Amino acid sequence: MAEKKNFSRRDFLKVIGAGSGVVAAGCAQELPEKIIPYVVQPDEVIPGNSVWYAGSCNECSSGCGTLVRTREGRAVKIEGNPAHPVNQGALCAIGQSALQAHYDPDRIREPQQREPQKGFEPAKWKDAVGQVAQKIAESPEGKEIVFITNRLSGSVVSLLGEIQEFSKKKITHIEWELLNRDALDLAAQAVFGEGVETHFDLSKADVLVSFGADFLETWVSPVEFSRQWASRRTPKKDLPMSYFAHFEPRLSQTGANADRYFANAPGSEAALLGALLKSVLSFGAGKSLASNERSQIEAFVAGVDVNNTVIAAGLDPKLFAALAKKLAKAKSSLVLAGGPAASENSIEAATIANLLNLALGNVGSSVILRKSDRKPVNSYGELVSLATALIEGKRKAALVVFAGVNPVFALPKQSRFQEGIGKADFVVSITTALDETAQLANLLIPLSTNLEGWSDGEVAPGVWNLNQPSMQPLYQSQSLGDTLLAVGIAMKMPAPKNFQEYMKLQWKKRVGGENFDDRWLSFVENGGDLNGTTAGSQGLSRSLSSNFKPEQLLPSLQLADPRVPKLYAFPTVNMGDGRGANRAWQHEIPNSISTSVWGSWVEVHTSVADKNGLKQGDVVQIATAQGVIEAPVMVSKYIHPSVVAVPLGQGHSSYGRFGTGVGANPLAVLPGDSGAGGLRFISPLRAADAEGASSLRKVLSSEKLVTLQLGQEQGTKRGIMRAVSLSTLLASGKSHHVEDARLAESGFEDHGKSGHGDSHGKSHGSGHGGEHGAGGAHHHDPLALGPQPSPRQMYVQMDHPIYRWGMTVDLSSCTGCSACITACYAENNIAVVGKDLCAHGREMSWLRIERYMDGDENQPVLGFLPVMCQHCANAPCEPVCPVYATYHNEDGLNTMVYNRCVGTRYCANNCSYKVRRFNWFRYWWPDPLTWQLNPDVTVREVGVMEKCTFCVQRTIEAKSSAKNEGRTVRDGEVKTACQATCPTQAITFGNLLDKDSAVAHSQQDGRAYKILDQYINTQPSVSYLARVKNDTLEA
Amino acid sequence: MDSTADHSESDKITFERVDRDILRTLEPPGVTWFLTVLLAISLLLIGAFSWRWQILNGIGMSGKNNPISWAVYITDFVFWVGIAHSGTLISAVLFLFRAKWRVPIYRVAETMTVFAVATAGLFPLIHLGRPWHFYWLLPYPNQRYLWVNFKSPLLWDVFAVSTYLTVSVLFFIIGLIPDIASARDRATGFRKLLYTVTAVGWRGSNNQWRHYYAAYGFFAALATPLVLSVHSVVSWDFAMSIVPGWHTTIFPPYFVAGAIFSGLAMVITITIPMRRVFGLQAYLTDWHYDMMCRLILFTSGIVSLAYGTEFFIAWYSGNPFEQAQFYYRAFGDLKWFFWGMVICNCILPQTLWVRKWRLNYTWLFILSIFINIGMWLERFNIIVQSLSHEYIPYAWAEPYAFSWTELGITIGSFGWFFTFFLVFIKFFPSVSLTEVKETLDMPLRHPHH
Repeated sequence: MAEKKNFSRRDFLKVIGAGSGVVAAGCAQELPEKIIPYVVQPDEVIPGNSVWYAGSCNECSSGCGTLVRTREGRAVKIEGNPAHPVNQGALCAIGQSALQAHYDPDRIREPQQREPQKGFEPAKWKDAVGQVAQKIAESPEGKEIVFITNRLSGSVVSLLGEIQEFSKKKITHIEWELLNRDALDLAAQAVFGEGVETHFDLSKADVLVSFGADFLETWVSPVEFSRQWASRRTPKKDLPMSYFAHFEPRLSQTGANADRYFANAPGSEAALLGALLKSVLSFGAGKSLASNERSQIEAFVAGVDVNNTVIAAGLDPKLFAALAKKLAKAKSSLVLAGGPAASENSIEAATIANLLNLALGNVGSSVILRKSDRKPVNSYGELVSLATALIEGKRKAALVVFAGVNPVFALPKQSRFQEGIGKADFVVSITTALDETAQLANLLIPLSTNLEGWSDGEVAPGVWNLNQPSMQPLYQSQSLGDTLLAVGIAMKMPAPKNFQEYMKLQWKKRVGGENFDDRWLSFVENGGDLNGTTAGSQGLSRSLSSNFKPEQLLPSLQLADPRVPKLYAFPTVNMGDGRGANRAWQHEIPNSISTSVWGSWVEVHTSVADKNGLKQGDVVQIATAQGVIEAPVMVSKYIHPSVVAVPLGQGHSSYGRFGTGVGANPLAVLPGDSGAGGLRFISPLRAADAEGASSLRKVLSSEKLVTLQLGQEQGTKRGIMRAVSLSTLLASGKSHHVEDARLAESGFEDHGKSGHGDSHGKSHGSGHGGEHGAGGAHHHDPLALGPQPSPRQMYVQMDHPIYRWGMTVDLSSCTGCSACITACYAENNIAVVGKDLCAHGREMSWLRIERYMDGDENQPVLGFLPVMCQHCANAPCEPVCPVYATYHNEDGLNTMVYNRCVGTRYCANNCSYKVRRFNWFRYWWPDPLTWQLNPDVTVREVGVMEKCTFCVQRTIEAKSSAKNEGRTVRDGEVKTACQATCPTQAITFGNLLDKDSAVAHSQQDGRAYKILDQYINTQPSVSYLARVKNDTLEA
Repeated sequence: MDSTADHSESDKITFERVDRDILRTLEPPGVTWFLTVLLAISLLLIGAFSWRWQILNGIGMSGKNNPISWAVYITDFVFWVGIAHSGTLISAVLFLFRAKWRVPIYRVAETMTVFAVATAGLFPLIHLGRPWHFYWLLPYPNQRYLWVNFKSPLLWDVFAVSTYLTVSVLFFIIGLIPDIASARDRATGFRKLLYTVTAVGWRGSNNQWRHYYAAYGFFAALATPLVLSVHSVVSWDFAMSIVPGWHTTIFPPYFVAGAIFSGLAMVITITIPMRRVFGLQAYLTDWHYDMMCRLILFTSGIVSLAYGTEFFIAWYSGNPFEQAQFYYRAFGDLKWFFWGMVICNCILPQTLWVRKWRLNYTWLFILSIFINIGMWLERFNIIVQSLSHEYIPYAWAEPYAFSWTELGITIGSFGWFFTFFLVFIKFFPSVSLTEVKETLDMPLRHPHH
């Protein structure tokens, strides 16, 4: 050791100063974050308080409005905008996870130029934009400039038009989305004439029949449709419950929510719709049609052999006829067709669905006709013909610009899109990630997310979104508008200095200049001009277009051989069109049908699995004529035997750390020949080859199928997920809120009826169970529905002076969309643990959706059951903790003190609901995902227990603001994260002690039950309302 | 009846021979002993490194997961607590009942008890998510006003196990004092010093003997209820919860019987090699093993009855969750753990009805190991199988996946136990000189025939 030396104060300060200098310098390298103290504090930024910015969601083309919560300049949560007519405060899982796309650690941070031999090298922003401008300006005669973007709307479209006009070059703009509405628009044009698009109001339909349209998942506007659909899923005084039948070759999440699910042969949609059309006409529908329309339609379906078509499609003709009859007799109805399931005959199916709606008199009520100045196109066909023409040399491209799309990933290999783009002179990708398409580019320009940049768009007639940035850009990125504007400016185009100004001018042009600055501010503040509605019909003719040419459809009425085995690539709520693949949340949140995480799977019918000797989890090679993919087998009874189904969106070869190399990409092996009729998501499997190798060949692979739900069925006595048939419910006469309603589930007698004493309509939430437990010793039917009297309690119950927070989940509304789980991950800093730990049962999710396959043959899935901490009044977890790390607080919450937890895990053992999650390791977030962490919620340490807190940070915030105002928290003032985002408003939350609160009221519903409570007297604060199943088809 | 009746006159055991035979076991050890200790220490080091690995990375290094929050460590804990049982039973309960056959084995059994409790006591710490905060489980005054939850059975465990450890150590030491004094009288060098200190001035005076017997009887009486209480409390860790398969009132007697069962098996496992190596066949005779076998047979019967009762009650209660749990135990993913347990604990011990098998030391040794395995499996089945298949089918578990870390720590616990045990038997008499002598004829100054 060195000799002892006097260490003076001065030396000490030197060392400290040098040390912190080094530390500070080390930190400053990575991110261009400006650390400036608030010497003059901006008005709106108060450290510790959230600032909310209204904006819009850019994850699909449905255009939901958002509110972005920021803290200290960082976006930490996205909520739906309650004032927005499309989503009314809700968001889907993909919309919630846009945060993770924003903070994606693999985002492109600066412009990059491809250098020969070296790959991508950083470039200057100005040079990058200048290059694009130069390429446009120098594009020679005979070559075109192609912009391939996602579906754009609003100012950016006119900006692109201005650039085209100014440059005087041939600019082709192709708007393309994988999950698009092309077929819908083409069908609307065919049936209703030009300039008309269709939209739907599912809340108007008493009978809803869907052919492949996965409207609860990804189809057109899932959040809006989910809300409308759910509004009719319970019988109400003045409105009957809707009946919903769904046709799809595999049981999708939408199908699982149907009252009856039909597994039709793939490709039979148009033929079945034709048969349905003929049947409903025969049952007397179509009276409202003009006689010429009627005869035209009758002539069209004249040749249809209903019986044979239905049998050939693998369905029961009696049931089909019953459905047709129900449809024909319904006061109002709706027939939907579309989605990847119907993609083999998408335009035809959508067209016949329009005819059906016309015949059933739905146009104008459940089918909304809207004016559209967008020319319907087959965008997929445009891409394919572009690629083909480029390869054949018929067209030449000086410049191809991709923005916000990834067609190289999403298009079939057979379409030769990649090869075609390779013929272009110069390729630019305006993108957030180095995805497959960006890999082709000569120049990468980083794209801002909607949290960083300005954008706008018209989402429905009269509804204009206006999206403002919620925070400073993380990197050197710009919004698409700003990027294009910069290109224009570089071309010396006269333009305002930034896109915000440009938008302002556009809006001024549109809404008029009077008092514009004030109005503009209010538009920005509100997230747009939201006064219109999505339902607005504009006096368009509801009759059949004179140009309607039914002859073209006739071939589709003939069913091709339905026994040809096929591959079906279906979309999921987790991955969307594939953009979810680099969002760790979206991998970790199980698909609600398969409960599988991190990777693809192939659904195979039991009989096919037996024939090919396949077991659950075996990895198979699936061969189509276009190529092979590999995925682990999931054996299912609920899929048409001639189909194997693989989820789309995974299997990226280039994306980011979470998405690359995970799962398989079925899109790559789909047929991509001509492109007529749009992308077909279904491909025939390759016939067995000369060696007899089957199209489903078991291969050795380390790929694992990881499913989070172990027990698939609950049996008859557990009563965890409960459903009640509509007829039972109606027969009980207690279909909605009735004091002390008690309802026996079909098949179970209500033994307790005589003994309960009828004055006990009080909520369980009163917390004084002992007072009115006179009948407590009686033998209960543990499966009885409706509020149950509290049994006599042996111990003094916890007193809740002001609040007892409680929740009700309406299982009739829950669609299993998983948005709540994503919101929970985002709100509560829940760690993502990855595939291996999930396989080991160590996922950290505080909220899960259980799905039990105990349904009947009509509908195998009994329902979706979101399970979170039940915040029991008699919580089994509390007394067993040796250190009081978990205890019951006076607000009725079962709280966790992370700092006190030593990790005995006894609480988790004793939790009957298995909602507690343990930190087996120290989990971490790669930067900058850490920026997303909610500063109001502790990030948990290794070795401690955690679980749902009922978003305690939100209740505390609401309580303290109420206290400041000298009142108690109002009903509905505080919403949990899961509740706020729920598209169907299935979740109600509030104070159970407030008898007028929505939650106290809903817990008195005749369908209410508490999981396990009648068995183990846990007295949960969470009630569930049994799912109602409409069983009226056969009546 | 004379315990040495089946020995010939020429083998007549005298006080002097007892001293010679038993204190011979303390002579400087040979290569075999060193190799054995080396092996035990190697196992211990495996455990130590595994634990270090687990502390560095997190308790996730064990095979546990969400429904299965307790597994191998708690199994090991209950297993070692169970092993610890027979010691006090043999030394205290059988002492009070004046069962003479306990005499030559009780020291080994007690030694086993002390070290087994010391081993068991490690596992609750090993199993904690944050073992560095283990002292939070103790009620100590602190300025944060944090207190422990006396409603939690885990806290009862803390007290039950620490009380048991304290009392059994004291009882053990008291029994050792006269023997140490005998050793002291013959020892030289370091050992002389060691024994002088540990004999705490024992001179063998009548007065000392009088006090000694009073103390011994007193501690025997104090330790006796602990035999019942410790494992009852441990069983409450399970019985007080509402996990199907745990929540049952028969657990305390069932666990105590099982503990005695496994403890006796462990005594056999240890004494059979020991009597051979140390040449103690004259002291640990057929009669002793015969009696132990009878007790094993009896406790095996209780345990088997308990297993049957669990199934009967599950059926009779009509509780769907209990029924599903017990169906799962016998026919589920881990059914071989269950049937292995039945074979080891219920079927194989039935061989002991036959006297010939009772006295076949090879078979006894093998059987005792099977019983040890069976009793480990019993605890594993109760803990892991119950947690794997609770109320909510969504949250049922895949078959338990063992990790190398927890196997390492389990192996290490044997290393820890045997290291102490082996060192002990080389320093202190492993058969009680005092009590063996009590069973013999008094040496007379003038022996007459």
